[in-house]
Amino acid sequence: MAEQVQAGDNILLDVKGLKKYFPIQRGLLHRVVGNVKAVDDISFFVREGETLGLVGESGCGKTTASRTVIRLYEPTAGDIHFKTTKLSPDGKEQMVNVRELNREQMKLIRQDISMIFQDPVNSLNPRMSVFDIIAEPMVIHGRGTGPEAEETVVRLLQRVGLRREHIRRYPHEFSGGQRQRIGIARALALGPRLVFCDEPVSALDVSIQAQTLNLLQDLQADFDLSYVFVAHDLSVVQHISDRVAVMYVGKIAEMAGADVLYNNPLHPYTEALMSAVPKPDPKYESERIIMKGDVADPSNPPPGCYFHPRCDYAIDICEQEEPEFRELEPDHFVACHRAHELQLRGV
Amino acid sequence: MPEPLVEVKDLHVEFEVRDGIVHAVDGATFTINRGRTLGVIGESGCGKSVTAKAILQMVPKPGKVTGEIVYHRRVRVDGSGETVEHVNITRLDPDGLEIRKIRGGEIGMIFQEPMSSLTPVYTTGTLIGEALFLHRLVPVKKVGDQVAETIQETRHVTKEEAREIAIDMLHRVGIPKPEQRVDSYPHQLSGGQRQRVMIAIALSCQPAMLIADEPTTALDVSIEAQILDIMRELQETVDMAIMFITHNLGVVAEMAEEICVMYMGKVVERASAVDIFYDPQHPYTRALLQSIPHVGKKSRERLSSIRGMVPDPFNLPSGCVFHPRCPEFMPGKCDRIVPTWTQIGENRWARCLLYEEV
Repeated sequence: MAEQVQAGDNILLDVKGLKKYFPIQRGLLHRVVGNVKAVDDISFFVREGETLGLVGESGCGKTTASRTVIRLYEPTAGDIHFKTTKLSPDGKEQMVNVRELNREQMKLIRQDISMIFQDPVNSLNPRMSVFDIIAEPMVIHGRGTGPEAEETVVRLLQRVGLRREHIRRYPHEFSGGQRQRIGIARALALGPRLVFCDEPVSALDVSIQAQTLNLLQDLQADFDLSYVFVAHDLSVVQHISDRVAVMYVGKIAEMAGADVLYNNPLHPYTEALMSAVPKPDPKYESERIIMKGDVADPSNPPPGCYFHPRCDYAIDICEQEEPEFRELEPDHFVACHRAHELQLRGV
Repeated sequence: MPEPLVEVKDLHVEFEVRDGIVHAVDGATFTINRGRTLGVIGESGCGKSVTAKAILQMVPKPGKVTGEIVYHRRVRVDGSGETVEHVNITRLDPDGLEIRKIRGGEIGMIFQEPMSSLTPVYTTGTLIGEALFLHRLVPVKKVGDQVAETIQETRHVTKEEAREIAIDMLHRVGIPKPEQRVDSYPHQLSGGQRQRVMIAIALSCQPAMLIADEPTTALDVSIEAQILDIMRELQETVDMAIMFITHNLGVVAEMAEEICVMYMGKVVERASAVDIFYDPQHPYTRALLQSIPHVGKKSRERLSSIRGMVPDPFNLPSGCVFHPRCPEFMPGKCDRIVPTWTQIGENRWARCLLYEEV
């Protein structure tokens, strides 16, 4: 389903058919009685230097997807190809299948992929100083100790807008925005190529959120980073992303360039989601599509298209057959039976 | 002419803690009109929630409330219809009978966290019933009392009536199969449904005003849209005022007719929603509006952010508290003189030296 993905040579990460099921166990013998299909056959790719936004409602599998890609969770199925120089002896770039790597190889790869977490309070160890937090990845990977490491940490701190004297302080001495900056500095400590940002600004206030988003964009330009930006705030995602993938109950419903997706959505779920975003304009007459009911249960999803019980455009085939995730327009992927015939409203 | 329901005049809330005194609310003045919606926006720690709690006399210890909160209560008088009685809420005993009649009964509240604000050991029916037993009165019909006006006596609802009302309320807030859901425990409901139950509890006693403290912050956009819709619909049917507290500028634009902007315990600007969004006067309001990304606008531009951070509440800047972050900082003025609450137009006020002669 993603043939042309291989055609491009600037693909950094290429995920195909990724699945992550969490078994539901019951009884004394922990019999498996079902699966929570947190991530259910998704395919996406990230080009070098770009930002892929991943949006969706809570529980749709955004976070699980990003954690499974770096094998914090072991994938149930699927392939994860990542371009790296870390595994070839001559230092040449090659695509490796992350899923087939052993522990040691995985450790090498993790220098290239890092993560920024959602909660700036709980993702920093309160008993470690800022220096220890940021230097920890370097220590683990044997990259510098002593004064050299300190210089690197100070440089990183200054780069994210903190000061040299902050290095001996502890997380509780900082505000939420500053803590998130520490988390960002830690993610950059090993010079990654790809950073998973898991809701990096959703715990922050509006004014701090803007600062953090600007910082992430500056760092991307400076260090030539690629981001996978997971968030539920659609305006933030549009602002920072080159391309956006919309997830619904473990599947990607639609994936396209940010402006295309927002102005010309092809999937009814995307349309409904866009219309639900409250617009900061009191004169705006909302013509909101109110989605009926709740998000489907990932352990017991409806047959056919998972979205059909809430979809205004659903026809018979939607209840029976699962739609294929296909490229309807160049670089515009959608999983909907009626995508080609619907006229949907953008923002 | 809008009729005032709650008038807050020069409200101060102080917390004396080990490290000093925190002025959580520092001279807030605003009015909530009957049947209208007032939005209160600001960043975390600016005093939005404490203001709401002060209205219900729920400020936690060691908070000290000074100033006036005048509640205009409609009272029925024999024969001559209705009059308005003024109650100063700050003078009431926080555990007294009077405030307990107002709290939950005449002024309802919805809290931010639908997960943790419902008691997990009671069913939704019991939770709604609890409010009903305390506050809802039904007229006693005696033989001979045919005309509604002559009914003087009221009694509390019975268990059966409470259940019926609970089912009806669950139905009105859009919970499917309310006859079954009335016996569900909170953990059996989704986040959106729990928030609907909260709304059902708050509205079951037909309050004159509803305080909604970040009611949709923990919810997804699609559920948020449903909840906002329900709140608007119910507001129309029962003619209720809403004080809507949020940090989401999109939500407030949709819900509120009038908006207060708060910063570090002070109301810095107050105007109609249209004026706030189209013609903001206070530099903080302007900066706040510019710092949010807009859906549908060209992406990949830099956001203009407010420089610096929210100051330490124990160590507030001199003069105007916003001056270290203000793009229109006037040296020698803003860092020395505390701006006062000035009327700058019809029905709009601001607290900024730009609009004062100094």
